[in-house]
Amino acid sequence: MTRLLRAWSDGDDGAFDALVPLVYDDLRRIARQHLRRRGGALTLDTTALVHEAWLRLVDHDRVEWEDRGHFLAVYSVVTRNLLVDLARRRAANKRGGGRKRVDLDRIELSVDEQADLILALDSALQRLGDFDPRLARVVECRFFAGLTEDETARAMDCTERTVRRYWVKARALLQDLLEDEESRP
Amino acid sequence: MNRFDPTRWPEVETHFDRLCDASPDERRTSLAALRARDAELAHQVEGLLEATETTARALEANAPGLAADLVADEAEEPATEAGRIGRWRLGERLGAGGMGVVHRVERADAAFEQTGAMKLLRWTGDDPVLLERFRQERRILASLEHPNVARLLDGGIAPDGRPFLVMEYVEGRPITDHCRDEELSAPACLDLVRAVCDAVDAAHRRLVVHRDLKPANILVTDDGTVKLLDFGVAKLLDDAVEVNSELTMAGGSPLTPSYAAPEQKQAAPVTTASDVYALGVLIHELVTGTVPSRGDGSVASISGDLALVVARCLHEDPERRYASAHELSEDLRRALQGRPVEAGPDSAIYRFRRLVSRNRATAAASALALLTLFGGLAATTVQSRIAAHERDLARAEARRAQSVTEFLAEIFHSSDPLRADASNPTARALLARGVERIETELADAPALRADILSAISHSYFNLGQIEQALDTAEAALAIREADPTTDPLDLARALFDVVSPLSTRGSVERADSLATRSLALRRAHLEAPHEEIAQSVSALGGVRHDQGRIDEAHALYREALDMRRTLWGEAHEKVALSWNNLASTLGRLGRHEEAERAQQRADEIWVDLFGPRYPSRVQVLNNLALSASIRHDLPAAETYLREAIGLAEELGLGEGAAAANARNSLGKVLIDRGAYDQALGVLRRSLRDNVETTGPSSLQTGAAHLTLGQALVGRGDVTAGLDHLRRGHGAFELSLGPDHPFTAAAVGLVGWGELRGGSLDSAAVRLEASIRGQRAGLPATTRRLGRTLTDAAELRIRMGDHAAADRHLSEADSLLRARDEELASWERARIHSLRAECFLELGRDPHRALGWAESAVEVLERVRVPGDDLLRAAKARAERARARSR
Repeated sequence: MTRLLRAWSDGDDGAFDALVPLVYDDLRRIARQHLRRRGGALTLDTTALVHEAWLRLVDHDRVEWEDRGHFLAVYSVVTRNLLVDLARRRAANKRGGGRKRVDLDRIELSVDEQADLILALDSALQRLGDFDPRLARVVECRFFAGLTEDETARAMDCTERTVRRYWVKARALLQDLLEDEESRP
Repeated sequence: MNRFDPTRWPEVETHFDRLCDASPDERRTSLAALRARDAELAHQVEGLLEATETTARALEANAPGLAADLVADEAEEPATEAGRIGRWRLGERLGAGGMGVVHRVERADAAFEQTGAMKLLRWTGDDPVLLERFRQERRILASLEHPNVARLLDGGIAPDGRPFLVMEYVEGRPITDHCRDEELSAPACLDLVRAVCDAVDAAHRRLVVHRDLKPANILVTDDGTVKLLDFGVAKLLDDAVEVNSELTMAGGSPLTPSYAAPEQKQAAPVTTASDVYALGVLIHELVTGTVPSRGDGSVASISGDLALVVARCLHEDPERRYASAHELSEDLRRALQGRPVEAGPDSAIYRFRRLVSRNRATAAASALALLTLFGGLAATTVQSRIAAHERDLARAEARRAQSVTEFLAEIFHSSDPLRADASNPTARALLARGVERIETELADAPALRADILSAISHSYFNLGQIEQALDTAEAALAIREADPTTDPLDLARALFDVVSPLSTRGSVERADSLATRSLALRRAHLEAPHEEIAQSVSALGGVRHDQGRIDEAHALYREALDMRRTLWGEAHEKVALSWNNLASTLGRLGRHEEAERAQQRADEIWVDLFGPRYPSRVQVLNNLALSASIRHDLPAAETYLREAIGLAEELGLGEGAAAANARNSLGKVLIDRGAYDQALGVLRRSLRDNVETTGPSSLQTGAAHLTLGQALVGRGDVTAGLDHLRRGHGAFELSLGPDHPFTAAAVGLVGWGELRGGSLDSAAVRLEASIRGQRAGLPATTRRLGRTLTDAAELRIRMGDHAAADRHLSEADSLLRARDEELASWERARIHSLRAECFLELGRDPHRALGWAESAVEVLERVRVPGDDLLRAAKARAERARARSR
């Protein structure tokens, strides 16, 4: 597994084919272990999740530490992919009408609302790319994967300050794009 | 309608960047000025500034946090290995409850057909105490064989770490429904109840209490057989709540209120009498159609002796109920036959119980046996009531300590997975038995317990049960540390034993401190060279490795290796291990040829000792393949990978992860070698597997389409190849969006396909888009971008623009040079060959061109298969270059 990460970090995307499914499965397993109930609400400890994913998926045998940036980039893609996948499945199984309106000010959501939110944000993220692809990357890392500013900077190979500036703009645009999303048929 | 417009974004951004740090006054003036010039632009800039004042709450959090339930929902889905968990193939979900999910399963091996109901218990499975209890329970439940009890068929830990139980699959109705639907008379119903009682009694005699008897757990099949489900499972859940206070059941308490005995609701010790209570409720419900009203145990709606029987069952005081389900069954029989019942108003039962309790030994023993199942406080209280002679017994056992140790060590040795099937359940049962035995038999012999716990820890580690390994090793260490008279070398060993499971789990700091202490003790009390010193040196090396201090790790591994070679000679298991460790640090230090040699040494020794089929060889071969491909020795990589796949299939590991790795890598290597025909078989299979497990438009399937497409185009099947490439691109676009760098890379491959197919115009568009897209995203120092640039150069050459081509090639070359340094890959060879052509056409230095062209041929000859197009083209160019430079 590590070998593939190394090969991938060389830009060899044949290794990517093999890497994604392995990362995907491991992430699901690790995510299960990081679900906790605190005071009745389910939470996911994302910092621990990323850290553990790094430790587990990279068995230290053949990977240089510099590759952590590439790891984080792959991790972001895969996490986003996973969440969107889950959301799509949930939405497909739902009885009754289409997507409900998404209100970005609410954070206590039912499972169905969570699915709707993820799908709406994913679709908005894709449109964000029209403005500037790096804005989309920041959202993928900061929001979808829950990476810290430092981790995002490494994944995107830029400074933390740049990450902050991009995040500020991306958030603003996302809010606007989402409103537009809702008004579409 | 959108406020913001992508086409004006660059300007908006410029103004925003300038204004967001400005003072409110400056902002107002600037915006006013801007509004006068360009209202639309001002509107957007203002909107952006405003939006940054407040943030939607959802965006302050993150997706995994917000969507935790979505993930949790998924977490209920069992993770399988190719649709299987253990030897069972997963079927449809039958239900979900507080305890977890239940799936129908079929036996997956060819041995025979069997259907089961698999319960996956919902806890994280990390807690070693819990897992230990789970194992003990399983053992006991497995011993329950009764025609009216749904047998426990199997159990274990699923790939995702959750414990599972497979029960006999029973199709039937709850007994209450059956009696109602079939309109059975009271006597007929009660006959069924007696069968239930017999089953419950059989379980009680095996020291298993059901704890959750209710109609839903008592089914009647079509042919009228009663089957009891879920024996003992309720207890596992209670353990979970007890041990991990954060864990609460989503579905609420596992108890069914109307069937739960008073002591159960008060969390007092649960005994067989609690099951009797539930049976009483059952009888009441069957006869009257309702459950008894709470608390008073009155059975006004039942007449005669039956009422007495039920009342006896429902007594508040467990001691005053029937002592066993068998007695209940007998009294039921008497009631049905009109004979006098024991549950009569005189205190015969009471006197009987008193009689039993006077015989302390028997009572205490069975009470102890029952209560040790409940663990914790209950057991210790009873413990104190054990007769003195039983304690003496324990001591006598300890006196046979040496032979016990040897005996157990023998068991554990034979369960070592390097010598057996790694998923051998017998090994786990043995270990569980071992842990049990030492707790009861060796309570007074701590040093001995520590020894055996260490041995157990090793076996758990070898079986991959890391948390159990850690738990037992820590327990052993605690015992040693608690004793001031402990021999320093015993302490050193105990410290060492904890290090491996700790490191595997990622607790590097503690591992560091323990490894350092262990080594210090051993160096102080032993004379080098010594295997124990080597062991600790190696362990510390592992810790340094984890910490990223590679040079130190390497030095330590080297020291351990040298010591071991002195001690054991060249062909010993431990020497192999040291070579293997060295291989990994060499790899990280970039010394790949040495790494490969070291890995080979390890492999040779292992083959020598264990034969060519030792289980981890598949991964070793994968490692060797990787080393080979890093040095661009593709033929060697191919050989290793084919061997790995062959071996995996021989060992029955053909479906495993290592084999899948090898197949994927092989497909890639074959493509890189130009062996497209051979690649097809492997790649088609990969694609099929992906579609099956992740669906037709997932990211993974997309990647598989792209690889297969490359092979097809490579061998000239452009139409078919392009179809796959487009599908791959489509999948990426769907999942990641059109502007993601990975999507851009996929577009580049489609462009390459079109180039090969002769559609130069569309190829040009796609390749340029791909280059832009890849540059815009992730760090651009990737081989893929280099490849796309090279493809674009080839296109330019076809269109006659050699200058543009050379610019692309020059950039591609420097990208690859940054990664590969002096190593020669076929990609760089291709670049050099093409540059040679450009130089010739542009009239630049022909000698340089010749040099490139010839070195390219040299590399390609080594790596590509004979007759490969790329090689042929390179040779042709070299010929032309030779001719020109004369």
